[in-house]
Amino acid sequence: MNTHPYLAAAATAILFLGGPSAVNAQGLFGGLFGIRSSESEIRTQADQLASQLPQPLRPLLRKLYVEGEWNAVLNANQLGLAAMSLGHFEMAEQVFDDAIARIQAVYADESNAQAARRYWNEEKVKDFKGEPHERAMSFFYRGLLYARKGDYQNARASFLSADYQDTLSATESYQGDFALMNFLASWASHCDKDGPRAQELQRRLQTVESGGGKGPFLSTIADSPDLPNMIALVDLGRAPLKAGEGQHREKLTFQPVNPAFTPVGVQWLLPPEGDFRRLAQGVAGDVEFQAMTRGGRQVDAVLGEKAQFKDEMSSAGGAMAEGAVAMARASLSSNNRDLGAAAGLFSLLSLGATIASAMTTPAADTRSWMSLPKVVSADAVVAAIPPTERLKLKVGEAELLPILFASDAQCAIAWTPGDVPPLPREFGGDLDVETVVLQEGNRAEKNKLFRDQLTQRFQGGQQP
Amino acid sequence: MTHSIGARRTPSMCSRPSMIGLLLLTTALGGCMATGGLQNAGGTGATEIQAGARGPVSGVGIEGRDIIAMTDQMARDMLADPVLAGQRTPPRIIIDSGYFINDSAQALNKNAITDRLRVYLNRAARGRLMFLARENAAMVERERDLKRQGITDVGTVGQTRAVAGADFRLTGRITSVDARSGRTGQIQRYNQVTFEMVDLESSALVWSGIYEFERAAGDDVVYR
Repeated sequence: MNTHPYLAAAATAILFLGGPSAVNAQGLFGGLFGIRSSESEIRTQADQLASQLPQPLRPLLRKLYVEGEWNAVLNANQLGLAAMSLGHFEMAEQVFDDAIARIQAVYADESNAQAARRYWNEEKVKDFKGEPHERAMSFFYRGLLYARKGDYQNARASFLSADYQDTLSATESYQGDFALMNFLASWASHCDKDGPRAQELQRRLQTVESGGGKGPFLSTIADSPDLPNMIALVDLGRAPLKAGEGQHREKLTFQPVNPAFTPVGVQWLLPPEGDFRRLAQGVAGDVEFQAMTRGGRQVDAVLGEKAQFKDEMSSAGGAMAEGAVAMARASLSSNNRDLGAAAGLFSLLSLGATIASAMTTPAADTRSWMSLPKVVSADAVVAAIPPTERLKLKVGEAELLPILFASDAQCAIAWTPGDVPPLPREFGGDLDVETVVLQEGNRAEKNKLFRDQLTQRFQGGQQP
Repeated sequence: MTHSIGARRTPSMCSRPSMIGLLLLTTALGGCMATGGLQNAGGTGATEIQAGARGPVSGVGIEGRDIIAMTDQMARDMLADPVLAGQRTPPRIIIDSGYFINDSAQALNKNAITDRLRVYLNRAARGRLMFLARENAAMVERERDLKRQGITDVGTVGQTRAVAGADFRLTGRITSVDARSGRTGQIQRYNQVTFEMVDLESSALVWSGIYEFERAAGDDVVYR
């Protein structure tokens, strides 16, 4: 009977070692079981594949390939936006489709999501799906790519999905107010010659409360008797990044990256002799506002519970250590062996509680889509479409050809990334795409399939 | 499998530690996870509202199995309709995605629906319906020009004065209505696909069909 505390202590130690998820276990034991060599193979394959792409896209594809499903949505979004910014639209379509397929998938009874709820796994062991504003922006860019091809119906579907993402947060301060998406869905319907649907969506725009989600630009559009047929959109500034607040960084917050950034104006450069009427000009979408008003997440309660457990284990460990010392002293002074055994048991329990506290990781997942803009600035015009291959935009004082331009007899759209200010040093400098983390764990099979698909797609290079 | 979702907070999957039960707790912690006291923390698998098989990856929108089910159903219905399939002279029909509108919140390839419907109907109709390839009108026109210019011979089936005119054309619309519960994280989507055959002379709707279903699902709490 006296051996029970020792058996329990041994069982505790074994379970502590066995408890961490496969992801962590890989880190602990990967070298022993040869996972390191497979990691180097994966990295080599990634380098070979990435070498087929233009230089600026290489680190992003490398990251997408190596990090696999764990970060597929985030990496696909970043690669998609970078590809789009360079005019590689087909590639951007494919990788945004990859991201959207995962955003729309239902992650129920999913092992990595379950692992993220375990006391000693960080939230970030789960596959990334992004916060509502990030998910919305995936659909936004995909919608622009559909519009570029004149597929206004799927563009509308994408913009409606983007709008819908903003309603998925339980406690957001301003739900369903990413009014830019509603406006673009209305515009796409107008371009698809579906007048009733365009007007219905415009009326819906009128019901969105004015504020950060619907500024003067969209208020003007909402009340306009006409809808624009020419829209220019320019990404400006940098979206806020995620950070963990609280003693254990368990509460997700957003930190503005460029608080003093002032967006410049955007304007179509139309022939002066042309017949056009400007409906609205200015900030059409405020990504920073969408992120900052995200509100609490349901998972915050999970992380709060982890944080509370961590604190309680720490307190309990300290209290039991003190008790063990007191009992040991009493045992020595009274020569009471039972008290000595109890002191030993308390020492073990104290050790267990301290280890449990140390291993509990309540930190929030702060992976961020770092290349997102702070705002989308726009110019909305009613005009006869000029017969030209590409119209120029005036962004601030600069005149430039937009990266994405498409027009037909009815409508025209332009999009381009504006000047993106560098990421301040306190946020780790500019996008660190060289930091690539291999997270195989129980994803090995899915990752293999994913990498095979990437290889098939990117082998031989991609044409813009 | 439908999960019961509610607002009240329930105990976690693992009770939080008490001093007395600490040893048992620490030995059991290996598989313990936090739930934040929330119901349905593990999420809810896609719930099938209408009977039908589903694959391992399933959401709340239109999927491949829906396209198969809806086109099968519409084709059977059309073939059973005497106005379409009971005529002495097979009516000429255009089925393509030209007037098939996606008004839903799901981007999809409409050709997947109209192509399957046309192919299935063409095979099953056994001559009772004639389908016109209006999408390929330019291709047909080019070949007709070559024949008439004498660059090619006339082929083996002879010439016609003009390309065939159509009696009916398929139109349709895909719509969806989304609902969600911020409390439980469940999302629900009603999907409706309508099919209508329009008489290209009178504009009468000679046949209509509808396929509708509703699905609900919920992500794991770590995504809410």
